[in-house]
Amino acid sequence: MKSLQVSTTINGDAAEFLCAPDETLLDVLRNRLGLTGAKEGCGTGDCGACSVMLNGRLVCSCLVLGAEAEGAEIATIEGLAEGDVLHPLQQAFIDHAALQCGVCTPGILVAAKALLDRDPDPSDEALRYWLAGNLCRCTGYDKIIAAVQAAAAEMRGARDVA
Amino acid sequence: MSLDEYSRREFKQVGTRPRRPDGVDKVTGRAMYGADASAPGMLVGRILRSPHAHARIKAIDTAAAEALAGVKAVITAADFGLPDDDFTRDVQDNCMARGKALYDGHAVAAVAAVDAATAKAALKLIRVDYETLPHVTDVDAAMAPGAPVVQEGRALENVPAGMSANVTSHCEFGHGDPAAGFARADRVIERHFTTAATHQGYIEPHACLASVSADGKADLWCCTQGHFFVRTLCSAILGMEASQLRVTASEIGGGFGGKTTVFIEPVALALSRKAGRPVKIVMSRDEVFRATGPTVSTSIEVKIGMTKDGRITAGEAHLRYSGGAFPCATVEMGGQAAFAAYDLDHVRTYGWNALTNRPKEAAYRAPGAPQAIYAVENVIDELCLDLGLDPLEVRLKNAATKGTKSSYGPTFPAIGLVATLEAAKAHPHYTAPLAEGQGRGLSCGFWFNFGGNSCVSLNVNTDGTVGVTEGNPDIGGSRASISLMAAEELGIPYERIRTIVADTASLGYNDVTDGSRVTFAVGLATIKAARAAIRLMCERAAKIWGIEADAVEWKDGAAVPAGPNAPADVARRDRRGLVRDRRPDRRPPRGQCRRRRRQLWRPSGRCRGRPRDRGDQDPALHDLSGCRQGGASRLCRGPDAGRRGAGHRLGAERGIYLWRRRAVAERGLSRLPHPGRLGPAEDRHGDPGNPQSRPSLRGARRR
Ligand code: FES
Ligand code: FES
Repeated sequence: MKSLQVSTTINGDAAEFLCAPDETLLDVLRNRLGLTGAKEGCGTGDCGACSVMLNGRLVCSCLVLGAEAEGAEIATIEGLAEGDVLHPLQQAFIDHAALQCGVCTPGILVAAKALLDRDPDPSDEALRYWLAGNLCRCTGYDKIIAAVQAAAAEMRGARDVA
Repeated sequence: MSLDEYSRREFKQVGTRPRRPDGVDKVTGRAMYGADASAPGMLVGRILRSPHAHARIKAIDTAAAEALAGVKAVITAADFGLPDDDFTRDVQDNCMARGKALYDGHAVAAVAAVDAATAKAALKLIRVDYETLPHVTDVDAAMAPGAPVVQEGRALENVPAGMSANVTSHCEFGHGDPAAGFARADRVIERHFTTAATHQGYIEPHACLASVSADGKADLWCCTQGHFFVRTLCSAILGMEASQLRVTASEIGGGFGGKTTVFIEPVALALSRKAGRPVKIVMSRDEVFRATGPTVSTSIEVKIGMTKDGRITAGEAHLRYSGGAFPCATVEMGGQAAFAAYDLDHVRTYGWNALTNRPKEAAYRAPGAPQAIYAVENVIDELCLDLGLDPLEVRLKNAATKGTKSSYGPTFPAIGLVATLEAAKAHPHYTAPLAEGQGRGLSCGFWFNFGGNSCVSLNVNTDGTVGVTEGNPDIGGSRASISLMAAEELGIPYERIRTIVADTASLGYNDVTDGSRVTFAVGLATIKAARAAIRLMCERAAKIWGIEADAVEWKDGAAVPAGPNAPADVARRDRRGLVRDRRPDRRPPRGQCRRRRRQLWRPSGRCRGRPRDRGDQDPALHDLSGCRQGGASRLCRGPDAGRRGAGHRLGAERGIYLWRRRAVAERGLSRLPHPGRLGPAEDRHGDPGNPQSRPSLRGARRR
């Protein structure tokens, strides 16, 4: 199969890659671009470990073809922190012990940020519903919800001050 | 060191909730899991799996796959030897079917190719000639006469004659006379339960990267609960010496017992050996569910008798477990755990394992116990319901306690079941009103604990921080626990310790991360290592100070002279642990300024010891040379101790190092003097007039 050339922006930087027409965006990110933060837990859109933002929308990158990303803006877990300053969500996950093995964590963080960008003050129910597509086998979802709510509160506080 | 004696101790660090050391890497995507590693020239490995639950493999033709451009190696069972012990052979046969495919998903061949698309295409070109056979997947069906035989000749001697060839082992536990016990019961209930072979369901599929070089040395990176065990299995299967295989455990994305063995690792190594290039294999989720170990599937009968007032008169269980297509001893765990929570006069469990055409069982959270306990606890609950008894009171009434002869043989030492039940009873949750749709229940369980082999290396760094090297993959935060225990013992802050999980070439053997053993066993090893380091540092400090080793004590991260044998004149310390030098000749004369008097207490000791007329420019060095037993905390401080006030923290190593550096600089020594080679105390202090006879830098400076 002939490779396709794709131009994108990833975490704010221009990125070009070659990929096979049937190659997933997740495989491109992980295997061609060295961005291994997104994980493949299932490859079928069930676990959410591969969550990334594509043109401002939350997607399972295992269900997106690399070729579909032409011209797109992509955001991955690797772009969440600003330099060495963790995003409030990242800090809250550490502070609230919202991860155990951590393999689901990048996907959950990306998904949680996507929600907070739309709704800075989600109810627990809305949050649980939003994160239903992100499976965690270890931690127990309560701590994850608590961490996201703590980060949301902090971000709202920061916004109010700003 | 006796670690088993309990004494109440006030902990400073253990019990706190510090941030976990792997947290930042895991929230930023930096943490490296099994599938995240790569190597130059790496090939993609893929495995061909049987579409049949049971089939004889008559022939495998790999020629077309081998001929495909980009394919670098194709292997089948023929590429492996035949280990002579059953255990290793079963693990190998599970990784690559030999003669028969024993379950749907059983590996039959594997390829390594330049990319995933080529590897996938190559799998399609492999022709396997199968003769499909009747299969059996249910444990009761497998034990019935005339069932399809999964493997011939695998029964142990303890299997009664005449049973199905699928039955591989039998076990029996208990004491007393259950029939007599049932006769005394007011109510006897017998029920049948089945449980499915559920999968551990970790989110991270198995993944590994193997690299075998032409001289036979090999490296393996994989997600596992026990890389030393991976080394044992893989080196045995590949016919190589353990020393030549270095296994590194990646971060692990969940295991729950399921990553305590190997599935793809020997295959990747064999492919790499054949291709002469690194090979990475990452399982798909589909492969995980089809070909890695779930728990046992079971069929269980439980019969329990109870008196009207809730005393269990007898219990009996028949446990039929299947660990899939290979013999499996898990039913013994179920047999031991089933009634272990209770103090019973009459109890018996009978267990059988039978082969079925299912993937080979792997450990899963107290393997075999929850199934049996689930059955027993259900029957107890039903008896309570029938007899109108409180389920918690009934369990309290029958709870095993110190001195109970357990249902599996041993007599229990002090155990905490009664206290746990009392605590549950007292907890507000036990009486909180229930909303509609809510329920409340309780059950007792039992599981063993064991220590196993653990090896820890603890190193004091030149700056006084500490590195702990352990060999157990951190599956639930154990690096934090280990760091805390080291910090507690050493008396230094948690943040100054870094615990890492080392590869198999860097540490002695460690058993697998399983059975809830790591925090406990590796923790004990860490405590031992910390205490050994403290002992060594105190001994060194004693040598340098020229005092007896038992006159040096470790306190709040520093060596200090103390105890009955400490020289009286240095044995007094201020509240910061610093020595107050009370020798009369060290005291400023009465009437001297208060500031100078105060300085006696200052850690920098600038005014301490002999004043300027002795030509001493460097107080930190002065005590070393000038005081026979002085310099109590001196060696444990860096030159800026007075400035930062923290230098007396763990830093004997650092202090010694600094002292040695100065010795080089100021004495013009060509090599660093070794603190352990200072010579006996007489040499150093015997002739104060001779600067060369002491570890004295003052003398050297005078020269
Ligand atoms: S890997 Fe994409 S949803 Fe699971
Ligand atoms: S922390 Fe392990 S899957 Fe979520």
